Amino acid sequence: MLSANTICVSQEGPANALALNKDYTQVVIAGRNVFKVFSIVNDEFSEVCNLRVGKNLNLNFSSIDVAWSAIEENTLATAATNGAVVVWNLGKQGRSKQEHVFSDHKRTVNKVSFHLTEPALLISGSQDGTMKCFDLRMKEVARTFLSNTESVRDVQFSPHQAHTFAAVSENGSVQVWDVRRAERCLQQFTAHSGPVFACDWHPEQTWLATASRDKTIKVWDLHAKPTLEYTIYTIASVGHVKWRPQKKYHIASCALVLDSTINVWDIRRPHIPFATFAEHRDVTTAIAWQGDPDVFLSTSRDCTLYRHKFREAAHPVLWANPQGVCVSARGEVAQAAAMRPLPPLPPSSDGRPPAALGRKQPTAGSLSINAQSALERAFSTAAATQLTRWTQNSSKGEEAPFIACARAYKLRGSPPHILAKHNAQVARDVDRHTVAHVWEVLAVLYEKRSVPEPAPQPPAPEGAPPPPLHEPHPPHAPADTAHYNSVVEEEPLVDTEESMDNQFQYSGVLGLPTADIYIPRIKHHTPDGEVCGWVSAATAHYVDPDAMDWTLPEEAFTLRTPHHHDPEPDGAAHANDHNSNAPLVVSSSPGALSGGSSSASSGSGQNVISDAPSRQNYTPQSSVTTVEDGVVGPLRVRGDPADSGELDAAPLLASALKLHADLGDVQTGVCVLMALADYRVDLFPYIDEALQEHWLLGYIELLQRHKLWNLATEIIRGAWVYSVWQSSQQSTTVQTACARCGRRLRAGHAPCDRCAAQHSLCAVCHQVVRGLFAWCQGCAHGGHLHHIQKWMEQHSLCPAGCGHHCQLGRNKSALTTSCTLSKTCQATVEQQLSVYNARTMDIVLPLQVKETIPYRVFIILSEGQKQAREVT
Amino acid sequence: MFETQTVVVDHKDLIHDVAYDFYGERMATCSSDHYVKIWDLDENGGWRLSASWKAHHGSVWKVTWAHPEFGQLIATCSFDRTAAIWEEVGDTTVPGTERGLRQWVKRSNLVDSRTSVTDVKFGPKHLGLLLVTCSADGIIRIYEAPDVMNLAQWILQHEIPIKVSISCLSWNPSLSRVHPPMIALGSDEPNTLSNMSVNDRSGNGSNDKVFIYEYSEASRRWTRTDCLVSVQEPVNDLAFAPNLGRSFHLLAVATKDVRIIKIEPIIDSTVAPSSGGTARFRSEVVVAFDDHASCAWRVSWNVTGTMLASSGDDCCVRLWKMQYLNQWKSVAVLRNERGEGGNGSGGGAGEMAVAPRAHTAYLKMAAMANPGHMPWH
Repeated sequence: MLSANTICVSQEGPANALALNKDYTQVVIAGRNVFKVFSIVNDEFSEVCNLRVGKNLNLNFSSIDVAWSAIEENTLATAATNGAVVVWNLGKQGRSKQEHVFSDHKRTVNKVSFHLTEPALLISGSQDGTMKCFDLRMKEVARTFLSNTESVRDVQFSPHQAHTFAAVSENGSVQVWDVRRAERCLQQFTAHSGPVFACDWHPEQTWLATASRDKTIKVWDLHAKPTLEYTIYTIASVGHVKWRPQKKYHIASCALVLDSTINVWDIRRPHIPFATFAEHRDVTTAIAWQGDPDVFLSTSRDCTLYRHKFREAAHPVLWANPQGVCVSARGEVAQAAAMRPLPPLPPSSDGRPPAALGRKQPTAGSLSINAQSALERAFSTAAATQLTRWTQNSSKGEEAPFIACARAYKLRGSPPHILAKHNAQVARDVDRHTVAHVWEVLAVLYEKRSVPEPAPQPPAPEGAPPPPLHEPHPPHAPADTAHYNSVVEEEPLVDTEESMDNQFQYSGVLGLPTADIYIPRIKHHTPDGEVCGWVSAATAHYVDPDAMDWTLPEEAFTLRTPHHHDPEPDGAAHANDHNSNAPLVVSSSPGALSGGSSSASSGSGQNVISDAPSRQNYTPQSSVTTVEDGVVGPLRVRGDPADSGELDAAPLLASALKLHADLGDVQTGVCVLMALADYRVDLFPYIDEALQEHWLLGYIELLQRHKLWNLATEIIRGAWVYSVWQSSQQSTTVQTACARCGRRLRAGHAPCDRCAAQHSLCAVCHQVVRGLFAWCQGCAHGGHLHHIQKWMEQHSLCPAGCGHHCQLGRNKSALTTSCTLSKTCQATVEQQLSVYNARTMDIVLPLQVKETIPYRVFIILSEGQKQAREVT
Repeated sequence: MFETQTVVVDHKDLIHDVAYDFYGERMATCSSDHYVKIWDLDENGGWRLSASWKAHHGSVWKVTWAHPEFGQLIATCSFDRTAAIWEEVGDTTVPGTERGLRQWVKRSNLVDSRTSVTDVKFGPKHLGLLLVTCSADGIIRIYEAPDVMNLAQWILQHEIPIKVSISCLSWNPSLSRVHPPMIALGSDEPNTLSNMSVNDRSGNGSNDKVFIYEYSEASRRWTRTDCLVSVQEPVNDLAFAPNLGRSFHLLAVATKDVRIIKIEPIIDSTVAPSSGGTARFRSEVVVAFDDHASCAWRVSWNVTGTMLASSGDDCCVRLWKMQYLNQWKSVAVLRNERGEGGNGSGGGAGEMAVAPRAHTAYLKMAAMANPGHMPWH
């Protein structure tokens, strides 16, 4: 750490103080066990004399403070730990230089200070709360100043008014005295909330800086009434402060505890030190400028004396990160950056290009002099910072397609191919064409499977390859080819090498003119007996191809047409489509909005900003790939029909899903797997369980980020991975709340605390129902069971007068099962929850008509034990 | 496509970090002026100051949100050598306007560091309430709150000496159970090849700047499993991309340039599981952008890990987007006009009058002509 320009000398013991002579060529350091004078020559310390000599080294030799007369070259004064003020004469003959001992203070003397113009005047500040002015000629106390405080920590003569001195006390007050008048001080004010440890007069201004245990340095203008000009905030109690000569706004400080660095502050920027010197290994005990703004000395408890060159300073602001940037879950970008960044640093004098190190240089001494002065000029005004946010226009929000899909997807309740068709349309509607293709493929695959009566349960995962992807093509060759082209196009996006081989096989097959495939497949499948469940499904399909609903493929085709600028989308033209694609697409304008664009990123639905480049970028590549495949694919299939087991859709589908996940779209993977229901077992050999869990958790988190609690719950509820499904069991609590004011209710029948509304009133007798509450599920009115029953014997309309034809009484079972609201509300809800596995669910049960029912149900999410998200 | 808006933050010094919460509805800023401010999204989509308090006695370097499952909880770290955990108190469902500013209470103060705490991050939710801090003297500390209802108690679980100054860290947010807990650390240690001030702390001669640490359940220790040799310059920031279902991890590193590094665990393929569970990685620099003048300062991912925002010395935010795997493109350059003001004037900035705040600004889109697209292979 020690660099060439900084010099250091080590001591036997730590020094408490140091003082320079008037021409800054010698320095005296004093401590409990050390008292030495050094001369500073040629950037070296050399010991001039050791004052701690003699037979009886009493406490007079152990010093707390030392001062060197600004006039008399040989006169020193120390504040001894025993309360004595000792005057030393370096010119004295003999070993002992001790001149006189003033033992007037009753307690420890904290500070001694020479008058700046009167050589015989010395003042001291003591722990006994007094200051004394000593006359060195008379060798007596000239005056005693009573501070009326516990103890005085520092006394300093003013450089502006010869007889004025400032004294600071442990009670936080500052006093200004005239040294000739001991009766009362000129000014007194409370400067800090804690003890003030040091003060320093500004050499030019009428400013006094005070340093306190409250971790601040304050600058006071004492010209007239004391006014606080600046406050500097440091990280530790400030022990000493010294103004930097010739720099109006700079002040050096060191801490009393904890922090061993010396900081130089620009008082106009009170939070970050302008320069830092970290050479000391322990707390710095004293600092003094060597009459020059670029050199100062310091002593430390680590027993060292340093002479620092300002060039060696480290500048914390240079490695303080000046910027912050964050992207929110809503796609908003916030940036905080300095409004006036620091100047770019010119190359430093020793020729190292700063670019190589960046601007971040925690080590000291990295700046050239020019750079340092540039920094010094810019420093004080570089604090201004601004926060900017960029929000995407709401109409085309980044997450909108994701959310739209999440909301509109149907994942259960129908056979997979129905769901898939629906979902394909959903994806298509939000311009996520790649995703739509995946769904369409899925629809075609599983439609075929579900045609012969109830779909056969898939056998063991390894044993049963699902039907090949391309089988349904023949009847509608052009449409299907167009359709599958896009699947081919997305394949090259898979980046893992090991999957590449497979990819090319599959995509090759998919890229084939379908007529070529059709024949070998039939040949192959007929003898293939052991997978009869699938074969029969496939065969059934071939027998009656026209029974299929082909709307989706056609739709895919029409969408794609404009993109290809294909004037005649007939079968013959289409066989060459792969080859003719490239020139056509490249020539199309990149920004053109083509419905059939299958660019990967639009597939992931998030390239609102990047549509144009990605599309332009993407299409040539995909066509390159398809051209290759057109050559490789048919050869392979024709040559080795027995190999067609590899033509399973499952691995292809799995890799497509993985691809989407790798592209950041986990939604597709999860939703496809979920929509497949039992068929998802097909994919399990290719997507291991850990990955499934990963996808599910990822998708759930994504939904939760968008506060789509219900959708997330749907996913949890439908999760087939136990660990995910289980999360619905964790920390779900149910509370009831007043329907009028929304306040949570206490258990039982107590009225609402806030609006005092009574709940669960009987619609017939208008009394509170205790116990069983019979109610109509249609209009949600109800009351005492016997009242309702009685009412219903005579009327068919609701007793509350809402005009509803209540079902009560007609269907006894309905009545009894719904007699649940009042006391057992909680139980009901919980019961329903357990049915519903709701972590965060709209309560679908009893509360069809929320406004009229006196209860709403709060579900406190496991998300929000402390967050209490209301679900109504 | 983007609306630009300047938020009047009224911090008295540099803002060092800005962080959105889990939902993107709250925002925290921290500054050298020792203050932390919390902003809430109001009905009109603007940010309204919801809380502001003096959090530390030194520059506050970073602020980070815990998962909302643990409550409204943030952690800050500071130059004053401490990290602090703050919790919002009171009924959080009541909007702040009704009762003035919200109250945040310091739940815990982590004072173990002897030097400036440079970064702090909460661990992924599924690991419990974990907090990791790093400090300028290169010590990583991992704390855990064993009881999530008692936020005053944080137990120092691990203390890992790295030996070089650490400037930033990032948890791998992967939810997959096959990925053990992982932290990436970035060092801003200047390179020792410079001829000045030989630094003996990194005397091993290596200039590695990014370290990957993984937690092994078997040994219950964090061990360094990788150093990314591709980064040799001081690192200002790094961030793992959210991993919602990828088999690999993406790490963005802000150094002189912006790098995206793909880290692919090699677990089952070649390395036998007998190798003590120390999964090695195949790491690969997917892309490196040096569009930010001399230095990139910060990087941040969107929630799906498909878009990266970076900010650097050119005072721009640049958005990078994955076109498809391994292909990243600049999709937007966001610049607030005001930011340009002091940029060119360099050393004379001290004399510049403070121009009135502009509340509108424009956006320059990146050049959309991308002539040389690399073929995919």
